[in-house]
Amino acid sequence: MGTDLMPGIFSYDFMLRAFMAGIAIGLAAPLIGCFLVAKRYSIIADTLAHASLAGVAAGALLFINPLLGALGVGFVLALVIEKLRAGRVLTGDVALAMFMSSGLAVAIVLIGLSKNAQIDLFSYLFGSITTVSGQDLWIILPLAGIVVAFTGLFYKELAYLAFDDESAQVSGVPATLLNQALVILAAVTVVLSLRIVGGLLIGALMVIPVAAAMQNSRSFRQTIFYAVSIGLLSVIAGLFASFYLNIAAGGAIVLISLLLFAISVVWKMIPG
Amino acid sequence: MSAKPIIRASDVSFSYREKPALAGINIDVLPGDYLGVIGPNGGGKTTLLKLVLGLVRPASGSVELFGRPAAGFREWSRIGYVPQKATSVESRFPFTVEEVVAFGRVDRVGMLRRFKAADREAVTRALAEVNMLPQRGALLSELSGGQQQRVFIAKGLVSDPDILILDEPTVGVDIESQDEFYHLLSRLNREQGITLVVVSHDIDVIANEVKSVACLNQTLICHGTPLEFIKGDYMEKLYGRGRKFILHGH
Repeated sequence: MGTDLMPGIFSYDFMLRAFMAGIAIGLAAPLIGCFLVAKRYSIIADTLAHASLAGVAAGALLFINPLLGALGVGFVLALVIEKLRAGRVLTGDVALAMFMSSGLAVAIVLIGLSKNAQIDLFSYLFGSITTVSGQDLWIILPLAGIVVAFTGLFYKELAYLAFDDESAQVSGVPATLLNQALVILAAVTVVLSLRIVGGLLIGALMVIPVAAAMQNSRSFRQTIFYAVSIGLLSVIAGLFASFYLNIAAGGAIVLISLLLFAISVVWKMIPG
Repeated sequence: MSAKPIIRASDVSFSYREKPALAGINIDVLPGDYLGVIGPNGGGKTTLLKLVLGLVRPASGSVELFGRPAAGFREWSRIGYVPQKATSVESRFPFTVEEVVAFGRVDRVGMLRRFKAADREAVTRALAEVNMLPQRGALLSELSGGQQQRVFIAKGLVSDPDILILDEPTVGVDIESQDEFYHLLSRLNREQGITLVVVSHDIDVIANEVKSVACLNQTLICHGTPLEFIKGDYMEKLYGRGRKFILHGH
């Protein structure tokens, strides 16, 4: 084993798994985030993330992979949220604020109940680089592939819906179906990111790279490209920082994306 | 005229949670028409458009588009729609003029297919039509209200529709741009034969521009030429006493 910096970090299997999962997240989160931000759904990511922690706890209680528990809860909640939004039963932010805190409340109660469950709550809240298992990768990588494929296949319809839901509907775009699919895939992206970024910080990875990209991009397409680049850079740099500085991965990733956001804002202010 | 109507509403009624919005509406829009739909706020103008566009279904009666029931209508590219709040998007989100206009081709292109050269040419033609070709690469958010509205017209035109439906198109647009805007609409109607339906609260402008007027206040109070509208006593019926109509010298 070499003493170089790079071989050091990559000689650990858990770090290889963390990087594989990280790249999948860095790609998927800002990609879905672009459509969420354009539709003013930014808070949905946070709501799904907090609520998915209830799924993690339920998964631990039932002795199934916590990510699968989170996936189940996220899936159901995504459908409920989109239904409430489309039916205008509650104004968007009230419903989301309610789900956000209730999800966390359920998670904490369930974890309290499960005396046997060996669950490291801290790692699910703030992310950890050591927890991605081989089994997790089998969940994370195919799902990330689905997220990327979905946005690629339905790019023009999703962009149109993000731009103007009603006009898109009039143009024959299946709005209900695609909006539901988008929110479900946001839930999926949340679950992918739970291990590394943590439930409390995933929303940031879906929103901050997009906000940074919007500062200097000159089209929707370019915004997506910048957002994904900034997301990938944040995750990769965050994983290095987490490894060498021994800090929570989620915190490192989000702080780096904030730094990139600040650079983007300053860049925009430079004339010419 | 014996031409088949593009839009036919027969005895259409609609309620929002038991509050009647429209009752017993009968109206035909014939090819080549330029119809102004006017009426007070809450009079059902936008509801009528939503019924026509299949966004909501009538409680009773029927809506036909090009001779077919609106419920099963699929050829949406024949209808160009410019909604009231011209965009619901996060206003600072970067969409280029070209990207926005291309959305008008989504239905023609179809799901799982990409835009092709023909679509890009159509975008160029539509932008030239509304005099916005030089701004094709600009961001929508960088344009004035009047320019944005022209982009939305281009988006409506890009699918080569038979009819263009506009909901309050000049809200938030300055007076000078409004004049230009209505000239553009008249030209499209006259030179290209595009049928137009414009919903507006701006009665003076509408009655001076359009070929026919429909006044809505839950029921269809009048439907005829602008002259019939002006001569009739409809202003009081629509808006209460004391409202007068001002005829511009054209």
